[in-house]
Amino acid sequence: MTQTTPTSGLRSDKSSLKYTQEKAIENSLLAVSTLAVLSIALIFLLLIYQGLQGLTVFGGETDLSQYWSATIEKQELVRNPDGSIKTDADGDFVYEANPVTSYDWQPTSSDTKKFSLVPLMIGSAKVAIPAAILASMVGLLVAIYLSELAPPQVREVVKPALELLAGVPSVVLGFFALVTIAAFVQWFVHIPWVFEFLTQTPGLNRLMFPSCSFEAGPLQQTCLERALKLGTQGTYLNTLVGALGVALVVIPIVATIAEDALRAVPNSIRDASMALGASRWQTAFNAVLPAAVSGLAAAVILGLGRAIGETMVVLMATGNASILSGNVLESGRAITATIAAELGEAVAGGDHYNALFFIGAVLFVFTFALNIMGEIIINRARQKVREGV
Amino acid sequence: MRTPVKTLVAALTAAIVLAPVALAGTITIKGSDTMVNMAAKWASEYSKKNPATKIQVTGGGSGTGIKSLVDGQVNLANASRQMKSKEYDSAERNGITPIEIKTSIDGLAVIVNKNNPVKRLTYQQLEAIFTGQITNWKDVGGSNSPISLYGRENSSGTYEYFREEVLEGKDYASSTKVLQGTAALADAISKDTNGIAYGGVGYFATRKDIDTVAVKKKGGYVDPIVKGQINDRAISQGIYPISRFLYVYTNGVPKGEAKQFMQWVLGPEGQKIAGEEYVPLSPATAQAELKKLEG
Repeated sequence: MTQTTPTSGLRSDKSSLKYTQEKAIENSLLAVSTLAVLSIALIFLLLIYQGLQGLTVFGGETDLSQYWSATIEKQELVRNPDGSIKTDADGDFVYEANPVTSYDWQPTSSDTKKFSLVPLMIGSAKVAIPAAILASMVGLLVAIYLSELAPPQVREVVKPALELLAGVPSVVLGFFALVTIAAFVQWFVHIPWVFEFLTQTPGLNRLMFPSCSFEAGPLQQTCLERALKLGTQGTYLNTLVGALGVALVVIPIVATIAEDALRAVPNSIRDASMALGASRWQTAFNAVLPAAVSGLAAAVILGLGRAIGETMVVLMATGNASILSGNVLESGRAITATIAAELGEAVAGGDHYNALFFIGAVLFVFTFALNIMGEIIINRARQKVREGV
Repeated sequence: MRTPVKTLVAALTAAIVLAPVALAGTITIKGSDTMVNMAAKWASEYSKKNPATKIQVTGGGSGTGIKSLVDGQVNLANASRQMKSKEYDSAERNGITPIEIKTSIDGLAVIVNKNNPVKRLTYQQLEAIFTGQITNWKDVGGSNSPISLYGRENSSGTYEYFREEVLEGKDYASSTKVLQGTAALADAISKDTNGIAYGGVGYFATRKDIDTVAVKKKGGYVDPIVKGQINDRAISQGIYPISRFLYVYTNGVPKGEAKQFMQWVLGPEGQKIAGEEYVPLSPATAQAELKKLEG
């Protein structure tokens, strides 16, 4: 007891060897975490630098407006008044060049290269939004059930199962989407009453028009007639298939974050609600849910961010046609899939390469903003809970 | 405690130092997805005869293979198109001198669903269909239903060759659904009654659920597959119009094992395998290509 150094604190004696060791370990840990943050910052800088290099403003070959649309001379077939194709004396088709505004993604075209982001953004939105809506609904309900209503035995099975789903590689989910989900969607939208409902409801028929792969017969004829009238027709691989696959990726994320938010609600709220005579259902939906609402919102936003960033499932299951169509049963080319499919091929430093970095930067900014938003909302929720609401 | 660690370190060092020696018998080949099956067959047959030589074959597309050759990552690049001047430029910058060797001939077939009544198309019709100017089968003698286009990723040599040869360099319609690989295209067409796609003839010869279209450039219609057999004569003599050479690119005149391998590929055994997947070179062309190997 004589002259003991104060070893009860967090640190060892400054002069001891142990202190030096601890300090060294601490510093190296700091270095590692700085490295992680630094690498994100450097990735962002690289994306922005390489992406902007292609712009004419910075000495590149691509004008910023080209990322939206371009005016091109398009060779179009000339048709006779009766709709047949006009031919000249030799029987050759007659073409005429018409100026059109093109919203095309044709980065390797042999004449004018076209870099419009519009079809890619439509493709990404057609996958991410349905996926996020579906995953939010399922994820939030699962979270409420697990946190408020489930008996412990059920929770013990469902929670690990959900975590297991989060661990499935997305290429496996992509394969599942390509083989199983695609066949299921195809079967489902071709059930006659579903088909009638989808194609006869105004508004809905533009968003969900199935492919006409019925057995040859009157139903196929009807479908083809309606498809021609509407100018859209679905395909076997489409953005809905992609969205369902992506939803499988996102559900565990939404469910885990939402469950954490619900568990963070103090038990005093539950007790008070119960004491006032509310049932468990009423407590869950009228007392706990409102208290956790900002945490749940964060779960949804982070889920949306993940849905936009998902690549493999989208590349495998959506058909990757860069078209302007709101029909989710038609194909779509997402930003992520475009980068994955084309970057390996683009000549380094060329305009195609720079354009891919540019759309990468756009994607990064978008998901980064969503993540920041999610974090802010989560922090606010924590603050609220700490202050006792 | 020390000794096992030391042994381990020594072993690892030895492995790292000796690795290049051990790998000296390895030929790496990368490139065209069209050629990957044929190259794999060459590799396995050749390795059976020469067990000392290991050959690694990977696909990824002609552009990817050429890029790897230019970056010095592989010994040979498979390509279903010729190298572009841009690619020659970057090769020169990296100190690499690509040599082009023809290995076989590939016919590109246009395929439709078995139930599609349209079985013959002219170049003009194909151009108008794939550029999105004709969008209904009734315009080319079929039923009144929309045409559903399928194609390859823009890294594919097939994509570029078909565009230059049939589309006169015009862009594909943006409604083209992009699938990864020729087998995926064949599957899609077998499911989609309104579908049309293009791809290497070798993939379609054995498929019963799709049909190849007879194509007319000048003169008459020629079908690349007749009664389930590839129409070798029409393709190698250029009577069937959509055909191209399949190349292997090497860095400089190949030496040692790479040279022996290429001689074997151009010899009777290699050409026999080429004939199983595609169409073999005519003897005169094969001789001319063999001369290139002598430098």
